Amino acid sequence: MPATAPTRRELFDPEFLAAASRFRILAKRVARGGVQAEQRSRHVGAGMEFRDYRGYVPGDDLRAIDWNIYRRLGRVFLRLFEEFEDLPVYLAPDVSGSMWQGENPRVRAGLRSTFALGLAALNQHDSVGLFPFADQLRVALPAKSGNVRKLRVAEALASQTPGGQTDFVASLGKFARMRLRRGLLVVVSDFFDPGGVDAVRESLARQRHRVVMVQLVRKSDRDPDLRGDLLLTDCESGREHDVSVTPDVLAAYRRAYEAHQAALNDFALQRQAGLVQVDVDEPVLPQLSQLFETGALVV
Amino acid sequence: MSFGFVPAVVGVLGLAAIAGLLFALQRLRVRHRPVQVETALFWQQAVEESRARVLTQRFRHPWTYLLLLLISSLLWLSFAGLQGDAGRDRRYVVLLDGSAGMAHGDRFARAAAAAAEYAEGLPVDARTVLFCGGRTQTLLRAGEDALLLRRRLDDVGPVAAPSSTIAELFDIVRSRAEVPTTVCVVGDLPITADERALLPESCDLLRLAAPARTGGNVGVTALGVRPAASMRAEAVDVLVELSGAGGAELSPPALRLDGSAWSAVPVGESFDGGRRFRYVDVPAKGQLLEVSVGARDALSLDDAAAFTLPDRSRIPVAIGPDVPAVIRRVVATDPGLVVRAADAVVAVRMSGTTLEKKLPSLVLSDPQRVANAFLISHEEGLDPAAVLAQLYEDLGLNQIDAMAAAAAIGRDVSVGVRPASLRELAVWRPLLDPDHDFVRSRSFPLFVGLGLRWLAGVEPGPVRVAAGESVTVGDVEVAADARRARSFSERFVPRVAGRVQPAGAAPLHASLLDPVATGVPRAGAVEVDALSAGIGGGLDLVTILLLSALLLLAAEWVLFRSSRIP
Repeated sequence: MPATAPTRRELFDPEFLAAASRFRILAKRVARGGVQAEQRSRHVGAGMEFRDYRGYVPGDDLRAIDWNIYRRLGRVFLRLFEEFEDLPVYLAPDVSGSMWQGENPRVRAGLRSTFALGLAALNQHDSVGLFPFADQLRVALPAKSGNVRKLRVAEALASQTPGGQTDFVASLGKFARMRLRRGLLVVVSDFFDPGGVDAVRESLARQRHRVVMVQLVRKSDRDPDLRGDLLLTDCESGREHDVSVTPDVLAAYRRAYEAHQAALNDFALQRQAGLVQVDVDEPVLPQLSQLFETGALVV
Repeated sequence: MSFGFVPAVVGVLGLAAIAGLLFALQRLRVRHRPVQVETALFWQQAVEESRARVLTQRFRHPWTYLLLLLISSLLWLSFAGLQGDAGRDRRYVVLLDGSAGMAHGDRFARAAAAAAEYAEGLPVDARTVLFCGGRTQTLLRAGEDALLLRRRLDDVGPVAAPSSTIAELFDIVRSRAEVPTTVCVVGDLPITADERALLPESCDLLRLAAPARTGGNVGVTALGVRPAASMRAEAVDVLVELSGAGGAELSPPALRLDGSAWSAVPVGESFDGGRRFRYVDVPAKGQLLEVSVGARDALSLDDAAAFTLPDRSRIPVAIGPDVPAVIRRVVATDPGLVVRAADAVVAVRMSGTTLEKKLPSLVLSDPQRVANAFLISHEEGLDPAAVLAQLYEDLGLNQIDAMAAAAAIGRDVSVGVRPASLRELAVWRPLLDPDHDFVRSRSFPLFVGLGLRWLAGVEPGPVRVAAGESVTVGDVEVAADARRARSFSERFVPRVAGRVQPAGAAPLHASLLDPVATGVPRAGAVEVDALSAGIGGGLDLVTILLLSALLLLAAEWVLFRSSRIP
């Protein structure tokens, strides 16, 4: 029987909130078009922090002319200031069937991880959107900022229900087609797609956002405690496999799993994406802190 | 493919049952444990990778496989009726004695059980079981299941017949003599040294001795007649022989004629093992003579015997007016003939004359008209050569001095036969001249007497009719033991005591009259190797296979329960 999502009270655990509030996400440059916030924007304009000078061209705002330089040099220069905007953070938790299996389902750690990263963004006035996915992606919350957003994100996460079969290509393809403002895409999943790791890589490669992957793992994923003649049933598709677990089969299983992991790592390196593995049987925040080991998650 | 033990339908059903059993065992053995996993993706890859390897590395649980293979093979071989090579080049024939002697107590039931037990241990394709009681009956053919033998044994039992197994034994050996044969006799069959010597060396003769007789027994072992020693034409002397076993008392038997008691004091004479009683001057008019001993003993089949007495009433003869006096004198002196025209059944007349009734006649013929000195006219449908061969002796023609007769008459003397609607015996009239040698010879009254008896249809009947012994029933077609023969004189063999009706002949009453059945040892019988070892056969190969499979199944179950095999 599938597990239930963590309640809002579980997500708003004070200790959890306090610990999550220490996370910071620092964007090198955010795309233009956002609201004023703390992230350095690619747009240089009417901010508070001086950045540079440039020559005047007709049409420029006369208020930006540095008249002191004009008096000394007789030439007209404009003073340029840094603009600070918000970073759109798109949270994409996996709510497919595999996430809801077992006594301690991955979905609990997944939603808590999602909420922690959402909190980190909301705390620095970034906008946060929620896009849970399984066989299809769904827009639970459009990207907006504000403190009240924390409650809505928590409510939206707590209201998740088990989805269907994982389909990265369909779900993230739909997300790519939304042409949202460039930001940070946080994918929280076990990354077990029936299409294999290639489907995962293909779907993530199509994103125009920076990508952070939070992989929810268990120790038994690599070393399953299974022996003998088994009838293995895929928790999502219901497909059955007669497997006699022998040392040879177990070794082949490990090779397949490690190949999957290696492919994810390679993809993260090539794409300069973040990848963190969160053991669902361990506390989530200490593991997520790997992403913030330099003080902030720089994207 | 054929099944040696069961019908084809049962064989197929058995195979299906085995398939179902193995399927159930396999289901028990594999018994997949259902597990729901999120990592089916990797398991599928692992299985495919493992499957892509060579088959031998995929092969699991080789010892379990060998155990299953052994069990399945044992079951298959047992159902296929696997038989060992030992004895397959030899045939085995079991002769179960069903003669009267086996009716003594429960001997037959015990002998039948022993025969069935012995047959079950023989190779299925090489064994045959025959029941020898009066006539031979096959109880089990080669290839048939032994269960059929048990069932068929319920339908047979000892009959009032002498031991006939010796005849069957030689029939068996003659057929397929090239095949080495082991004959096992179950019963009383006595075999003489001469009979044993006639068997080929390839024939092994064994005996599965029948259970011993218990208690005393008295039986009629001989019953016969002969013409009365007192020369009374219409009477016979009757001989009754009683034999006893186990010290039984031998007192004169009771006699009945056509159902009525007939009392007479017999002349007794003892011999080793029995006593003969002779009853003189018993009137013989074709009655049924029944002899019985009053003893109540273990064997009842030999306590009574019967015999149909000959009809020795005088034959009335009509004699024509011109018949020579010499013939009248012969007829007058013959005690079996009487000149009486009123109810005459035969006649003596001159050629060319007729009497009131058309009767079978002795005709004195004219040599100018008849070519043969003796011309025999017989019923149509008989073989003339056989008739001539038989009557040439029976009518005393071989006693006639034909050379002297021919010399006296001046013509060749010959005998001819021809079919006719009525019997007739023609003889040249000149041969009966008083001064002729033929009339003066001792063969003349014999010729007249025997000739008139043949014309009257009076045949010299048998003096003894016993089951298992041949008897001449006349010159008509008879059916003997399902064989139809057509000859002048057929020897008929009644197989079982009782009233028998040969086709076309008068009924007979055969008696058992078998000293062996009564319990008298047969003189000259030799001991046959007793079958001691191997009776019961122990366990045959199929049973061993099935037991082995059962043991292995039990071992497999124990190993499975203890998780030593999957």
